[in-house]
Amino acid sequence: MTPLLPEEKKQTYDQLATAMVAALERGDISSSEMSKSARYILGSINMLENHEELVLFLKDLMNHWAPYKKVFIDFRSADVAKEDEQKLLEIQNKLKKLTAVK
Amino acid sequence: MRIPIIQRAPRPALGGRKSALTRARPVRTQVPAALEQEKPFTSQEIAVAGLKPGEVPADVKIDANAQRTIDWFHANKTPEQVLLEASRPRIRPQTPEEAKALRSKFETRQQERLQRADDAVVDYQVYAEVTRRAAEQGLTINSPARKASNSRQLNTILREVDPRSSSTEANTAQTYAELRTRVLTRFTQTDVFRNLFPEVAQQPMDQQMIIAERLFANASDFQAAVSGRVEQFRLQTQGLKPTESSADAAAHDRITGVQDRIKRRLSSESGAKINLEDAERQLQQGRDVEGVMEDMTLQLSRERGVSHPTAVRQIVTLTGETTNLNARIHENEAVLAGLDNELQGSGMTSARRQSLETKRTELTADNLRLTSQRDNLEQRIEQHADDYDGDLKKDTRVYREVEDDIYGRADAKGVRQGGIKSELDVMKREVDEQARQESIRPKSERAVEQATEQERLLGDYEGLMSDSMIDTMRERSQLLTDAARRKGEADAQRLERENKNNEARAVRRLTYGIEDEYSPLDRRGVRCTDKQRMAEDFNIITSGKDGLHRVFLRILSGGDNPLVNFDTIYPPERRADIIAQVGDCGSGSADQQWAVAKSRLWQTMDLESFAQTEPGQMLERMVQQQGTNFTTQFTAGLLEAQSFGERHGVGTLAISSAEWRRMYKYHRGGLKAGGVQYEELKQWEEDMKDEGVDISNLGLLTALSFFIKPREENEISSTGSSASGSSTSTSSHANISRSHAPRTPHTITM
Repeated sequence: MTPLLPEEKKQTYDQLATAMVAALERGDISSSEMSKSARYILGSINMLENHEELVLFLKDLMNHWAPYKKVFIDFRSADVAKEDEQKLLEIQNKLKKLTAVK
Repeated sequence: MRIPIIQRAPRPALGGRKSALTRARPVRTQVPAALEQEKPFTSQEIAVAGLKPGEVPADVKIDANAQRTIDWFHANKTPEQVLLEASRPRIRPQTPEEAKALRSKFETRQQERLQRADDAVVDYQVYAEVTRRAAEQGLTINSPARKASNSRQLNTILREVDPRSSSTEANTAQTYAELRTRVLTRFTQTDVFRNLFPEVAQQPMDQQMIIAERLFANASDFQAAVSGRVEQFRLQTQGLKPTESSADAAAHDRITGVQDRIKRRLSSESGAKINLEDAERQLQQGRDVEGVMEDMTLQLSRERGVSHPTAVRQIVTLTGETTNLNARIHENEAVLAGLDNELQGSGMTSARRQSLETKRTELTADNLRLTSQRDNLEQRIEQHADDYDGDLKKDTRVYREVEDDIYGRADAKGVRQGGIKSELDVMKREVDEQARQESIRPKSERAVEQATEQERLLGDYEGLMSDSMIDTMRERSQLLTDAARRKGEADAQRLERENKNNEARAVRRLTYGIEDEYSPLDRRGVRCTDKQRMAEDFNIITSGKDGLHRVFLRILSGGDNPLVNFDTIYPPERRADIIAQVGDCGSGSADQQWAVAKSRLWQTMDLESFAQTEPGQMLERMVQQQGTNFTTQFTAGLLEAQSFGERHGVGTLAISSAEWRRMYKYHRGGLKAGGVQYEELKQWEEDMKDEGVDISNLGLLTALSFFIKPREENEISSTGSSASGSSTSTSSHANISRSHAPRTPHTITM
């Protein structure tokens, strides 16, 4: 479990608010849904303790209010990119070890 | 990279009003335990979702609620603020007719309450006037010895006095008896009566009414007690000082001069720390100069680090007394030695010898008495010194230094000189002069000022305590205003008779210049209870954060359906235990002890830890600290209130007093601007009821009403194309899963 950093929370707020306003301007979400989703966000986000919970929350949010899907995807992409980077690093390390053995 | 498709598991509804525990952990109960696989999206979808605000076509119709949130976003509010704004309840009538219907829905109820209040005031005024006239005419109206002629006279008085009775109506002694019962019952049930006369409140109802009647007959004590509380509040609150006359201002300047001199005369350390405003206030309240100096000494000793200044003062005083006694003992011993010498000599007459021996016996007896006193004092000093847990030597030295500052240094004969007593004497004279000046001001002027002050206080208190009751103080305030006007008019007429027409005009202007809105609160049908309680609460608020929490909790405990009610939390059979645990609940009856215990429970509740506790831990903390007797309602209410406060940008239990006042001000302003927020709140309540949610927490609603943010415009009259509906409560979360079924999965390539 990766602890959730305050900056991450802040970034989440930022992206969710941006997504919500963009959706309002596009007419993709009604004001009552806006209200409900905002309440859900505010009520839930403070309870999050780690990064995994954050992703689960964003996924849940996206499943109820489609306009927030971009936020979820952004976070997942970042995670995946990080995972890929880690894997690459591991592979490089293995390669280096192999080279050293030779 | 492709994100694989998954099958979504059924999920619980968001929110809902199930229990405090489930509501306390929205995320924990809603988020699946393991990360599911996501449905991929199309690149087109992503492109649309990725649009930034301001990048979308302008032909989309946006309703007023949404526009407001958008405006906030573009006004560079923080994301949290934007979300908070978006989360606010949305009640918008669509048409003027709807707006009117919504208003009338609440106004009818308010009018009814207002009518009840007005009836109560008229009741009281009629009762007071009838009682007064009956006494003037020597009528016996409450006794079985009442005569028929009395009834006739009473009938006449009632008809003359009561504006509600028609001229033909037959008012009888029974009418008066009913009126008396109504007025006195209401009075005895007010908090102000029960707080001021707790021993009376324990008595049977008929006894209470008799005592209340006596109080009404001579209300000066009662009124003085309440006025004292109001005055205390006034002094503690900036900006509520009464208007000063020029004489007052001059006296005030002179007192300031005295205070400056005192500060200069004391050492710089003492001069900087001494609280001369407090000294002035004590002198105003009639304290003597010596008493004030004593308090100053203790205050400064404490400031300079003496651990227990009162104990040190006792030791120093006792030491001083011992020294005096020793001096007298030594003096007596010297005289005795002289007498002994003289008695050993010869050639003395028997009468002279007899006289010397008598004197010697007296002195010896006196010395024995003095020695005993000294030994007793020394024993007490030793006891004090043994019990003292600080650095006695250092503390004594510091205390003596402070005494030198205040009382002046002692000369060779032990007489202190150079203290500030003479300055305080001057201050006392000025304070007395101020009081004298005040007493010779025209009564009409003073009465009007007093009434204005009371009105202003009421105005400032209004909204803070909005649990509705017909309050005695409101009646008294009205009576005071009426009395001030009657007095002003009488003064004006007298001046006219003396051909002082200009003065008469001035008095009239002053008298009738008061705004004729003694309680704007009444217009919206929300009532204050009594000034005493309001003054207490304001005092608590101004005393700091902890006090603020206490007031908040007190609000939760108020109203018809208190959230926090120790009577409910602890059933009768548990109360003996609680009283024992609380301790020091007095030796009164069980009910009295329980009342003390409840009061102390409020005081000792660990409010600060509540404020610092994360919402998720709050329930556990409360259960740990208070036991399982805390009801679900209590915990749910607090959590809901806290959640509400957080959603609106204020930590409900951790707001500053300034923030409190600001919100209160806005709240009050909003109500005055047309009752928008109040209506919203009431509408929310109605919606909750419509949805089958039990909303019995009027106390909570009252508390929540303080946290509603201000409106920038009166949106109730807006006819914009709102799409909001009436489902605005937190419980409407329950509908989310119905109205937002999971969307069709899409595929994207990442």
